[in-house]
Amino acid sequence: MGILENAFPEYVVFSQLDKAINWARENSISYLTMDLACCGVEMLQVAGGRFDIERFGAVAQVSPRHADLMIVAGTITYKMASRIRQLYEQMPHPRYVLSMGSCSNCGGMFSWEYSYSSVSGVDKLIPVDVFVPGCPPRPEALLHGLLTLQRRIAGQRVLVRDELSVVRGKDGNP
Amino acid sequence: METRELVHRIEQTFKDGVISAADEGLFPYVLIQADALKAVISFCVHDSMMRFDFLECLSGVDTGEEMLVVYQLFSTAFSHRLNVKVSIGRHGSKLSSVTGFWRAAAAYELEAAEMLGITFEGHPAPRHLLLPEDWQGHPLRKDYVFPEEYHDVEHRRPPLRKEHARP
Repeated sequence: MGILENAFPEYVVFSQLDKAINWARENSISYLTMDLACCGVEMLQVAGGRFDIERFGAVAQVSPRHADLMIVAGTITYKMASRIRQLYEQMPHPRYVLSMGSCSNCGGMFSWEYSYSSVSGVDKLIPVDVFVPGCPPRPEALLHGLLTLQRRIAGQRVLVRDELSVVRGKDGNP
Repeated sequence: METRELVHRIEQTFKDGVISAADEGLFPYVLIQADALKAVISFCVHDSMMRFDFLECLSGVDTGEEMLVVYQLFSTAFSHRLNVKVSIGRHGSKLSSVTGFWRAAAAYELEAAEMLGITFEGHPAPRHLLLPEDWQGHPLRKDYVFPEEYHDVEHRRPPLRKEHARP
C-alpha cells in the first residue's frame, strides 16, 4: 500500500474531509417537530418504539436553534406561515426541510381552489429538500424520506462549492 | 314551558317586532326585526316564565339575500329551548351586542363579525378572533373572493402539467 502502510497506529483512519463531515451530519440529525395537523400524530409515531427514528440518528429537538431539520407535517394556514418562516430563520446552517403529507406539499385537500386560508405548499415559504407524499404518509414513508435526505446530505460538497453541491435558498448556503 | 307557549308568549308581547315564527318541527324559531332585538332578548332573559340564562350558540348565516343571526337559547331553570333569529341587510348591517346578557356571546360575536362582516355595536373588545389581524374581507360571505396573495405568498398553485388539470 505504499509509504503510508503501517506508518500510523491502527486507530488512525484516512478519509476525505467532505465525507467525514457529511457522515457526521447525516447521522446526527436533530429534527424540529412542526406538527400542524394530523400528520403530526403520524410523525410522533416514528419517534416511538415501533418505528424508532433514532435508529437512523435522528432525534427530536424542541428548539430551532439546535435543530438541523424541520419536519413540516400538516396544513399550513396563513396565520402560521410567518411563524414557520421565523422558526426556519432561527435554525443554524446547515438546515434542511422535510415536507410531510399532501397539505404541506401542495395544499392537499385544502388547496387554493377550496380554501382561502391555507398556504398551498410549504415550498412557497421556505426551501424544501424532501417531499413525502401521502395523506397522511405511513411512518415508513417518513423514514424513507429521512433516508433520502441522508443520501442528499452525503452528496454535498462542504469545502468546495460547485454546481454539484446542493444549492439551497436565496443565500445559497449549504 | 312548551315551545308553542314560548313562541306564543313572544308573539303576544312583541306584535310588530315578530316577522314570522315556527312553533314545531326540528328548529322552532322566532324571526324578529333587528330593532326589536334588544327588547326581545331582554324579555327572554328577565321574564319570570322564560328565564333564558344560557346562550347555547350564536351564529351568523348568509343566505345570499339577507344575513341572519341565530341565537339558540336555553334555560337552566326550566330546561326549555328557543331559537331567536334576526334578519339584517347584507351590507353595512349593524346589530346591538348581547354581551350584556351573556358574557359568552363575546366570542361568538367576534366570529360572526369577522366571518360575515356583521357589526355588533357595544361589543367589549372588537378584534379578529380566528383570522390574522390584517386580513381583508369576510370569508364566509357568499360573495367572498379568495385572495390572490397574502404577505407575498401567492395563493394559486396551478398544476405542473396540463394533463393533471381538472376538467
